[in-house]
Amino acid sequence: MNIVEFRNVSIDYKMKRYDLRAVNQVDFDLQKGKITALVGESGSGKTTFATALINCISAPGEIAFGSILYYGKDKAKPIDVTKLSEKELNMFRWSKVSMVFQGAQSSLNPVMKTFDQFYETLQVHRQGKITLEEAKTISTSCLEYVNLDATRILGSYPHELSGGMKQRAMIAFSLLLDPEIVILDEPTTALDVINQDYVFSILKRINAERNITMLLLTHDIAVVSKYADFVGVMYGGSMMEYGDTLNVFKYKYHPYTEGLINATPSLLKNLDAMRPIEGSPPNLLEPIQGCVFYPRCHKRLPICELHEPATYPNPSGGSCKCWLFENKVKS
Amino acid sequence: MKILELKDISMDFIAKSQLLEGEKYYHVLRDINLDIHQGEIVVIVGESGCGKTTIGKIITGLLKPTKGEMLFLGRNIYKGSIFSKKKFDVSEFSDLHVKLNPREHKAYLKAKIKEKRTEISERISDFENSVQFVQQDSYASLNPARTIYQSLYAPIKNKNRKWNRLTIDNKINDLMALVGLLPAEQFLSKYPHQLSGGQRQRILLARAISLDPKLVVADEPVSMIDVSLRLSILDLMKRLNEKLNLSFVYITHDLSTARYIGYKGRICVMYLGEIMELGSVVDVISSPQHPYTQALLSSVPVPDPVVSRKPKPELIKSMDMGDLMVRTIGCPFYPRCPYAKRDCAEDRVPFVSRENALVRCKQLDEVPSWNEIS
Repeated sequence: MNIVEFRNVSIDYKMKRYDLRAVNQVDFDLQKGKITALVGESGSGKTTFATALINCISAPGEIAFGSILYYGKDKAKPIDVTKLSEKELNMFRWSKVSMVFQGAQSSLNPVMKTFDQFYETLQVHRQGKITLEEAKTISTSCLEYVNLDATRILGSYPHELSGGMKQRAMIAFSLLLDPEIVILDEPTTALDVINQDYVFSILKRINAERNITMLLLTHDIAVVSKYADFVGVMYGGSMMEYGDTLNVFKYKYHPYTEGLINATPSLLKNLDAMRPIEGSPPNLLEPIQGCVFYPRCHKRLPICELHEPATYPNPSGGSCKCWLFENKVKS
Repeated sequence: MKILELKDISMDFIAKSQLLEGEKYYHVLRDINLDIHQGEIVVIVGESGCGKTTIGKIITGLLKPTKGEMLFLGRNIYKGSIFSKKKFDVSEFSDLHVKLNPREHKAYLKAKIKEKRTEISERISDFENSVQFVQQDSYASLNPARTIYQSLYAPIKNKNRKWNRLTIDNKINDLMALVGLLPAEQFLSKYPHQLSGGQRQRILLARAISLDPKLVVADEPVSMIDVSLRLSILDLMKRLNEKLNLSFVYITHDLSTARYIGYKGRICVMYLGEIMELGSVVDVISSPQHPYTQALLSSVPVPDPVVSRKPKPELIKSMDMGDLMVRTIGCPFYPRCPYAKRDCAEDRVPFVSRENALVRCKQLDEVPSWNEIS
């Protein structure tokens, strides 16, 4: 069951002379209660795309067209996030969809104690109808959920906490208003492997116990393989492949997915099987006529240079934006 | 041939002193012993805060260790100083017993001191030219107001004062070809912000090898580069290692890239400023002996959902890394180790040779083999 449906979403960065299309006509679904990952290199548009869900794309980005439907309690009447007013959005953000931003280590206000930040958020969202005691109980339960010593964390300033603790405190912060969806933008990039493993085990537990849908943004395909149920592969602002994680890794339908998996160093894979993708990532400032991946693709066809492919279904139920799948599956 | 020997290197940093508390120290490294041979790749891995970057800075001479000796081609780098007269031990000049009149004696001493100074300055500049550093942030490592050509030209001219422009230009072109940036002219006139991260990292490698060093220390050189291009930078380092017989010290927290670059080299696993396990990369990664190495390896995700989703045993007791201010006597991993016994904390743990690796653990017989765990 889908909780969010992105339909034909395009996002432009409006510059002085031209517009840069950071996200190009993407269809994407989030299934309720699952962990969906968006994987892509830097500049692939994954953060821009995900922040569209709470309509807070960093300026000068704007949603050019498309709709983002959020299915709340009333399944028949989805909310279109792109059409919400600023006031409605402020209430929608964090209470329905919250986000752990990239570099969560610096997301906490350095001159406020953690509790004051938690309390402030609760007060604003409940229109001041919350007592100090209630706020304490809610914050404590959230922090205990991520295995932190609540009394210590609530009474300290961010600089008194270690990197891993701040990261977990931010995850607790995102759970504060009991949202339906949490967006996690590179939640473990600044952490070392042991801490990374630990943070993900907590996230996995939150996902299972509280049935919270998660959208995980990462560049690390190894993390995706371990924790995500579904994965979307982004490249140059386009969704190249979408599908069930096991199938995506098993069949590697899209040439870019295949290249990305082969380019990721692994502890087990044969060393000769690992190779980089030739060429360099696309410059979105230059006009692209055909497929964005055309210059680096090893399976390219003449048509790829001239015409942009549409998104076609692939044999295992996912989808691929590639000419190779044009006539493969008849839907 | 040993290029560099670290002997009992320790490094302490002074903590910001608090009123009435007196001086406190962060003990970042403790008694590190490591040899680096010609043409070898040594990988240093560990979590953040284990002191791996500090080792890199000591090897390159950016930091002077608080204790211990560092020998470059058998000569101690930090012995003597060109600046102070007092530090010369006059008794070292053994032929002083020859009778000299005071004036001759003074002239003799002066000449000797000059000789000694030249020796020291040669020794140091030799070291500085022969050990180069490539850092993580390629953008911050290049002067944003200089073109790539200027950035590459300056160090070469500085070392070879007598070279003319043409010779240096040829050298730069050779370097660009070596690191795979062709055609060179297209890159040389650009500024750092006009290049991609991977290209800048190649420029840094070109600059590092421009002085014909014997050893290059690379501190997380690929962590800021796109995944699809990481392997090409590692391939370049491997190629330079083979072609120029250049030694590399590769510092990283990423064991997967460590395995890729160092499949012929050695790996040194560090924890809280101490070496826990030292051995060949293949051996240590395929059968880690130390409980910490096992814990580290088991938390590395593998890009294969079938393998990575198998349940794994808990190999670590707590998430709190120790405090660098408190100097433990025994094993630093003791508080987090599932196999720890009381005597682990009591005295210094020696290295034991096990399965072609040097392992620092007292409970090796208790630790299950890697095959049983994974």
